[in-house]
Amino acid sequence: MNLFLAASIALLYWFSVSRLLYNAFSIFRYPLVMAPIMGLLFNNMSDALVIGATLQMIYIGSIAPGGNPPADEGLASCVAMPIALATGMTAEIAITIAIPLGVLGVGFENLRKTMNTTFIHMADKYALEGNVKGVQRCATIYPLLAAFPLRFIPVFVALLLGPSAVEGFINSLPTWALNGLSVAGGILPALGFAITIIVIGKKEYLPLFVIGFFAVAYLGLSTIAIAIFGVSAIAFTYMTSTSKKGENSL
Amino acid sequence: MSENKAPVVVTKKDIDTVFIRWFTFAEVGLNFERMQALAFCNSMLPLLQKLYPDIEDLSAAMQRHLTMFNSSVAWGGLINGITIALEEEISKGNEDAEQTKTLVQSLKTGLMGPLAGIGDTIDMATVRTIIVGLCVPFAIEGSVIAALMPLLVFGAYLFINTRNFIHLGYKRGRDSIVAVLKSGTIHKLINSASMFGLMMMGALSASYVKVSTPLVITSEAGTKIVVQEMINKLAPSLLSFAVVIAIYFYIAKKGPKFIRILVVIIILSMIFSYFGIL
Repeated sequence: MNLFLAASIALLYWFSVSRLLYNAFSIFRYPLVMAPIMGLLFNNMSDALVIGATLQMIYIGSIAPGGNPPADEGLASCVAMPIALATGMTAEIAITIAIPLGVLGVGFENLRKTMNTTFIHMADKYALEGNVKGVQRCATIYPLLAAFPLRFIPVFVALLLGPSAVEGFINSLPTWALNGLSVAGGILPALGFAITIIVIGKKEYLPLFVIGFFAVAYLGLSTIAIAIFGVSAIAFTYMTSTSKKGENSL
Repeated sequence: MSENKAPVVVTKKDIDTVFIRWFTFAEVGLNFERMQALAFCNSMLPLLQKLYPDIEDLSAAMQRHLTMFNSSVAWGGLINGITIALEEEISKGNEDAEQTKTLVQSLKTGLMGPLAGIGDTIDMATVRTIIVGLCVPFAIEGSVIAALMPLLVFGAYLFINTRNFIHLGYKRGRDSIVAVLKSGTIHKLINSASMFGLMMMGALSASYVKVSTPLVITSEAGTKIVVQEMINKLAPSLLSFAVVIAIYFYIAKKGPKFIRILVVIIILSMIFSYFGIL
């Protein structure tokens, strides 16, 4: 991959996980959203969209309860997607490189949160002096700059050396291992959904999960259809239960 | 303590400044020790400067807001709003100022947890997952708009909500916010969102979790039994269903050990693949 392309994508990774603008709306780093950008960079929109949407599936319910993320979708987006596009690999193979990258990215994020403790201590000192500009820098510029080498370098290097190395590695894998990784790719969305169910909570609502699941599995309804039925049914129960108010206080 | 000065008035623009600074940097300085404390303090700085011309008061106020804080950026905006109102109170230098200072602390620590829970449930788990889930099928078919839609829709949703919550927190003050949180209305709203969320998680799981077995059992008579076909007769996608439920109960029992579960999934997939089971 050429220097300019590798540097731009590394810069994109740094920005997408910098948490600027509330993590760029906490969604910018998703493979789905990154896909059009990669499509432009590699001049291959249709493949980029297929790869991005396929990678997105493994992270679809991936939320970070209590700030404890199960994967770094950004690293998967900014390394697996460009490598897949550069070497022309299929979306299924892209998943197999994305999975370990997503785990590695959690390590980067933890490192960042550890490094940032330096700035809170610095801010303590500035606050004692009433130094507004100092505290401001500790909360803005410093963490952004400190994260830069951590985010930029690994992606830059991976993209420069990566494509050929990854291709060689994938080719050396036996069929069962490749199949195993794509099996894992099919199972991993389950982890995201399980976490989401936990966060939503309320064990007594689990039957609704079963209804939603088998409405799709048996009847072949689309998720939009379920959304329409779901909103209507729940709006109905909400409105009909307003008469008995005060029953559900915290 | 500043004495007998005309009280400073907090304007709408001041609150918007807090909002922009909060929304832009909320998680930039995120750290293990005090999480969003840096961002909280930073969002208040211009306002604190306006409220406290005296550098000692200013310094004390800055220290007050460098304490541990971690909440939903959007729903937690209510806390930012209430804090603005309380700091305005404190700056007037009335005799209850000292009391109000301790109130700010207890309010922040008391409200950040519940509001984080609401934000995670409604925004992150339900709204975001559903928006993304609805867009993925269209993106696969080549729609650039569907790929960018989650960023635009969810981005606008968070931006507007956060701003509204901060203004609401300031306007209604702590008593009404606490009252609303304790009332049945918000509870019912969350329940409805949770019900809808769970139904959608079911639908999305059925669409996106893909587990099937290539196993073929040959009986003594020589007839081949395709295991997946048998499972489909029992109930379609039963394996996918079982996997989601199994992981759910594991997390419910053993806690959020995501990385461990992830590694186990990969290893088991490899092993089952090796033996031709999956």
